[in-house]
Amino acid sequence: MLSFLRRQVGLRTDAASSNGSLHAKIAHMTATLPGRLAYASDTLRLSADTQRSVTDVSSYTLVKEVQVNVPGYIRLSWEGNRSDTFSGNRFAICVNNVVVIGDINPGSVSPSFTTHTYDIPVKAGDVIGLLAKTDDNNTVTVRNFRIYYDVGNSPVVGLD
Amino acid sequence: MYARVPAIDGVPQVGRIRLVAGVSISPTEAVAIIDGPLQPGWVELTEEEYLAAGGSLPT
Repeated sequence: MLSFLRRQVGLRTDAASSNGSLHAKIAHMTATLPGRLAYASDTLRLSADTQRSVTDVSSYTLVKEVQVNVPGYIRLSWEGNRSDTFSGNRFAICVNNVVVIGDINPGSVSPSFTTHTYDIPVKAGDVIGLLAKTDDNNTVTVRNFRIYYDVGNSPVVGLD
Repeated sequence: MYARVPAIDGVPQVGRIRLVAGVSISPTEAVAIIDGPLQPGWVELTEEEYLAAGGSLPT
């Protein structure tokens, strides 16, 4: 029994390994996890393409939601439109139920769509939501909600 | 800075350059606020040109 436990736990000097002893696995996690950061890029990672609409809702209403499990920056895009030019038609992005970018004009009047894209900082486990609001029997429509990023050992952003 | 950049399905193709905001003006072009250097083929815009093209300022 004791020798079994010794093999499983291993020694503090064990080399880092994803399939070694407990000490080796912890060393492997320490060497790999902290440096894994997302940076916004052109690489598509997730698509939530189903079309959703809100009609006559004067406060922000959740229309799309995703959870991001890596820290760093992600690029968020979606297509949206509205049924008319009513100034109360708006989108917003929230992180963990807190609006971080608001008052986004939907742009196109139905049936055409405008694509909106933003880079936002995230922490592992953050829940990113897309909100919409309208009023006076208008409709705001969303589709092709997408997330783009790459993962590396350091985030890379603009240089000047 | 404000710029007109290439896009795929309206999504600005700016790679690792920080994109503050982007709005499509066609399936292959978008206007954007970027935090980084202009790349070949990108066109710098004034704020007025950006807004006139349909761009919005993040709040």
